[in-house]
Amino acid sequence: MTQEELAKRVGVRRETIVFLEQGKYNPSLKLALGIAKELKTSVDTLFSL
Amino acid sequence: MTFKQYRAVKLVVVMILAMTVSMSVARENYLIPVMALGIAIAVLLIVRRKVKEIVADERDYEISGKAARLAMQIFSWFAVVIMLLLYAQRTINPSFEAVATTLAYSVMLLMLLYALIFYYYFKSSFFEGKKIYLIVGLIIIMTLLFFAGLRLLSGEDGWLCKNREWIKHGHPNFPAPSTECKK
Repeated sequence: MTQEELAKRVGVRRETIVFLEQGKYNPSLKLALGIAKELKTSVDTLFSL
Repeated sequence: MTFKQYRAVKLVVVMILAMTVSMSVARENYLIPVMALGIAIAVLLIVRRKVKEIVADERDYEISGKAARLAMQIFSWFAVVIMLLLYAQRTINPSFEAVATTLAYSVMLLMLLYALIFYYYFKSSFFEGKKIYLIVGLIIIMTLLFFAGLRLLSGEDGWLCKNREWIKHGHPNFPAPSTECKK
């Protein structure tokens, strides 16, 4: 899945996904849960908690 | 329409608006800028609806919140310092006092609006219902009251334009306007 596709699915702009990957942005709980759901994983696995 | 196209249209609209406003004000026509502003807002709203991509997300809102807070703080401090300087120098030029008072009222109104909006969001959720219209209405009413208050409190002393001359009305504590009297 591309950044663009993921961004569209969770309702954010592609830049937000880029900043998330680079660790420069702390997402809201809603966005974190949305991304985890789309990537079929859990929030703690996704963000290495 | 893509987001990039929307941004290009927005830039063009803003440039046309800026040119229209500056040319109209230079020719002392104040109706055209108001109309141009209304048309520009309508055009941007229509164009924005045609954008299929996400125009702004939670990160944009977070950044805009920080930017707005910082801009407000910078403006407030700047206005207060300038206001104090002008007020201290009011004996040099009496019009300094009017400018200082305007700045003081501007900062006061800004702080009041901030406090009210902050209180509203503190008490309720941002996207809950359509209460945002209430806030916009409140802001408009407050602005109108502010200007009405200024008009009432400013008194009747001033300068009137008659037969191409500035004539004293009452006892104004500021000099006659430097603009040309055309009536």
